[in-house]
Amino acid sequence: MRPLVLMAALAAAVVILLLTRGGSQAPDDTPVATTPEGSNYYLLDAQVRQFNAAGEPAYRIRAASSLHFPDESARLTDIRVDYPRDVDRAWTLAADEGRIPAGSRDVRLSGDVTADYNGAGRRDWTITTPWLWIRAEQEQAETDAAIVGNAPGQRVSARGMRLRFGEESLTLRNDVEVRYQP
Amino acid sequence: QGFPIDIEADRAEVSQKTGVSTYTGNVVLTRGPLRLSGSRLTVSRSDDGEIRAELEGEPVQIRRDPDDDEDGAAITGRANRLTYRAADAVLELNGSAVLNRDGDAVRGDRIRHFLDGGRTEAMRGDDERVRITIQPETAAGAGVEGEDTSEPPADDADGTDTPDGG
Repeated sequence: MRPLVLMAALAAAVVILLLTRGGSQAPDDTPVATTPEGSNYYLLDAQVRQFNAAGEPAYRIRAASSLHFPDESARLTDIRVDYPRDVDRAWTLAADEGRIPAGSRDVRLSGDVTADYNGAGRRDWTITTPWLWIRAEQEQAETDAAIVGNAPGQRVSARGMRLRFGEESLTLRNDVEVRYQP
Repeated sequence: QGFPIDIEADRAEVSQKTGVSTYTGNVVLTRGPLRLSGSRLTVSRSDDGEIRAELEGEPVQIRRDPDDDEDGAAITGRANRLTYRAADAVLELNGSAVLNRDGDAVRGDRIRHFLDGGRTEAMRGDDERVRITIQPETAAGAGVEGEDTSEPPADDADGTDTPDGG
């Protein structure tokens, strides 16, 4: 009976030795990357290019930070969106924050959203609104919120708008008021 | 002339490419004492800033309130279509056009009214002659002066120029 007890004690000693020896190795000092706010990865000074179905550049997003989450949603800050379809006439949108819902390519801009149209010889426009959806597939932007627009000698206000980047046109949906200065 | 042009409507389509804006639904254009209303308005602005407004309605309604520094005549009117040239302040009424002023009325297929100065020209249509109704002086005070044009003058086959009488 005695040899059996001796063998068990010896086996226990070996196991303990292995366990402790593993622990006494030099600690792993490579820094563990942390990502903010539960994102699984994030980009700083990010630039995202979007192409349309025909492979032409649709729009380009630049953001100070772009947080991407496990459900494939994303949140961007300090955004600028350029629609350079026609190089000299372009729409530029800017906002404090943007969100891309899970599984979507649309971007919801919010926080002091401005849309500037560089008319290159035509009337320049600046439109402001509290929030705006960029519909990537349709190359449009739309909101149901109030908008105010200014162009040289012209001021516009309405509730709800749709912007068509490619066609350089916009629909004002409700309660339209316009002033033309002589 | 110095007044801005204000437009209200339910909806609008604005083309940056062409510079043309189209307003639909309860459209009202006001400029100082002038008020035009209809169902559809197209506004274009030329490169030098000239504004041209084309209004359609069922019918288009025109109202111009008396203006203190002018002859004080209030104007009302209607037509199927109306063109307003902001630069030279001209109203062109087209289709069943009627313009009323201090009780006097001008009817024709087309009427052109010069807001500055108050001059009015009326043109007949294919089947509608120009008709002018001038109220007796006592009943309505100063009105539009013009001769009875049952037979249009030889050189002006289709219209009547009714200068604003003093």
